Amino acid sequence: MPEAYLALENVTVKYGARQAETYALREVSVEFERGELTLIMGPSGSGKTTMLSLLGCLRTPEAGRVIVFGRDVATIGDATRTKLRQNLGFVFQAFRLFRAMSAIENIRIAAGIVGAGQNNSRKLLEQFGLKEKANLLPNELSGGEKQRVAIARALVNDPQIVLADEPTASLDSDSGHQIASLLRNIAEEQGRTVVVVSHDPMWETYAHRVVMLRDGKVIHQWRPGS
Amino acid sequence: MRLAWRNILYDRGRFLVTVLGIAFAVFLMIFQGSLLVGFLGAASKLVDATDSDLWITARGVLCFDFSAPLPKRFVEIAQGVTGVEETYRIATSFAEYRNGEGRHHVVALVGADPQVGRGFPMPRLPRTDQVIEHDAVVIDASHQKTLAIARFPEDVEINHRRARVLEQVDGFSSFLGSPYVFTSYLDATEYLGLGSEETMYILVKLKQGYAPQQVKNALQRRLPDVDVWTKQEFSDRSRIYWVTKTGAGAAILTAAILGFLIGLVVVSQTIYATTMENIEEFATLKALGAGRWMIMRTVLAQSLFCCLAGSALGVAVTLPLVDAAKTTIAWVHTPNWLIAAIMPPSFLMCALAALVSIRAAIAVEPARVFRA
Repeated sequence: MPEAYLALENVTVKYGARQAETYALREVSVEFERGELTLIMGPSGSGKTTMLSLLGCLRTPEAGRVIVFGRDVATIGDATRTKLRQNLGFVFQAFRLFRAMSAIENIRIAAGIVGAGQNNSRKLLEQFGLKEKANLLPNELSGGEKQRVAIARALVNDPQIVLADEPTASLDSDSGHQIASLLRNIAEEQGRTVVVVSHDPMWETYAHRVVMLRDGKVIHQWRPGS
Repeated sequence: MRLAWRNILYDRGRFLVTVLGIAFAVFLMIFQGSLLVGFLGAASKLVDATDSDLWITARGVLCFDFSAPLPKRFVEIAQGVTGVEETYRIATSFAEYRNGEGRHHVVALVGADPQVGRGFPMPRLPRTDQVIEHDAVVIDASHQKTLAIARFPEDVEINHRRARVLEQVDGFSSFLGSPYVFTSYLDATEYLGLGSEETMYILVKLKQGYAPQQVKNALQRRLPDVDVWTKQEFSDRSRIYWVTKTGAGAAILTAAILGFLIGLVVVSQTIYATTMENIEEFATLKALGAGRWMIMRTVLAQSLFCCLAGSALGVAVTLPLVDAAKTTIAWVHTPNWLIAAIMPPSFLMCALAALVSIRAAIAVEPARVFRA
C-alpha cells in the first residue's frame, strides 16, 4: 500500500506530567486528500490546534505517525523538520504579519526564508486584490486585507499543503466568506491540500470534507452535500 | 537584517531606550576609564616627564611622592659607574605654604636640576633651559585657586621662607590634596631644609650604547643599600602603588570595573527586553521555516545597530562631560586609545547581551503561532 501524502496514523499527544497529564489527541487517524479543503471542527480543547501543529511539523506526537509529504516527521531531526516547514503554507488566526514590514515585505521575507523568487510576491498581492496596498504596514490594513496578505505569504513558496488556523475568526462575515472562498479555490483549482481548523459552521459550505473532534478523538467525518 | 532594521525603525521609543541604555554604559566606561587613566598618568607624571634612564631611590620608596633622603656622595659613586653619562637630582617633600594674605596650605614641593628635562616643570627664563634662582617657583594652572594666587608674579612663603610664584604650567595637577609647587633643586633643598650631605632622587642618563638593565645591575652592586630602577620600572611602581596600595586608586579601579559590569547589565536587559518584545515574530519566523542562523542574525543585527548608535551617542556625550569635569578633577584624561579601547568591550557587551536574547529567540516554541 503506498505511503499517504498527509496523514495522522494512531496519533496520541499528551500535555502535562503524571497526575496533571491530559490527552490532546488519542489514537487519532485521519488522511487528507490533494485538491480538497478539509475542515477540522470541534469544541475548545478538542485537539484541533494540536492536530494542526502536528501537520505543520511544529511538534511531534508521543505515539503514532505523522506523515507529511509521505515522510514520518517523528523520525526526522529538527533541521529536516524546519526544511519541511518551508514547503508548507501557514495561515494564522492572528495573521502573524511582521508589524514593522509592509504587505509586500511580509511576503518577500517569507520568500527569502524558503529561497523563492521575489518576483512572485507582487503577483500574489495583485492576485488577491492588494496591489494598491503593497506598501502599507499591517496596522494600516483591515482584518480581511491582513488575512489576504497572510494567505499570499503562505502561497509564496507554492506549497502543496496549506494549513489554516481559524483564518476567519478575527474577520467580519463578508471578509470571512471571501477568505473561505479563496482557500477553497486554492484547493480545488490549484490542486493543493488545504486543512482549515475552525469553530465557524459557515466553513461547512466551503469544505470538501469535515472532521469532527471531541476530547481528542475523531467522532465523525463526512462530506457536506453528499 | 531587513527585519532587524525595520523593527528598530518601527519601535523608535524602544530603540531610544535601548540606545540611551547603551550610551549610559559607554559613558560609564569612558568616564571611569578616564578617571583611571588620568589617575595612573598623574601618579607617574613627574617620573615620565624627566629625561632620564635610571632612578636611584632610598630603599623601599614606593612612589615619587613619598621620597626619603639619600647620602649625597652616592651621586659621585654613580657617576663613576661605567655607562653613566650624567646624573641629576630631584628633591621633593611636603611643605607649608602661605600666600600673601596669610592663607595656609600644605603643598608638595618639587625641585630638580635643570638638565632633568625640558618637559619637567620649573621656573625657567623664557625660551631657554636656564633656571631662575633664587626663590622662584611655578604652580600648575589647576591649583591657582587652591593656592589663592590672584596674579603672577605673587609673593608667598614656603616653610617660612620667601618665594615668588612666577607663572603657571599645565598638565601637572596633583591628585593628592597637596598641590605641586615646582622650583630649582638648590632652592628646594633650602625650602625643605635638606642637609648638605643629602639628596633624594638621583637620576641617571646613560651614555649611548649602554643597556639600562646592565648599568642598573652595576649601580645596584656599587650601591647595595639603595634601590635602582629603570625609569619605566619606577613609573610603573608609582602607578601600582597608588592603584593597589591606596584606597583612592582601588576605589577608582573598582569604579571602572563596576562601570563595565553595570554597563553590561544595562545593555543586556535592554537588548533582552527588545528581543522578548518581538518573541512572537521569532516564533512566526520559525514556523515559516527560518533556521537558527537567520534568527541569530536578526537578533545580532538588532543588537549591533543599537550598539553602534548607543556607542556613538555615548562618546559624543562623554567627551564634553569629561572636559567639564576637568574644572574639578584636573588630572582626568581621555586619550584617543581609550575611546578606541572601549569600542570592543561595548560591542562585546552587546554581543553577550544578544547571546542571552538569541537563546530565548531560538528556544521559542513555534507552535505558539497558533495561539490567538
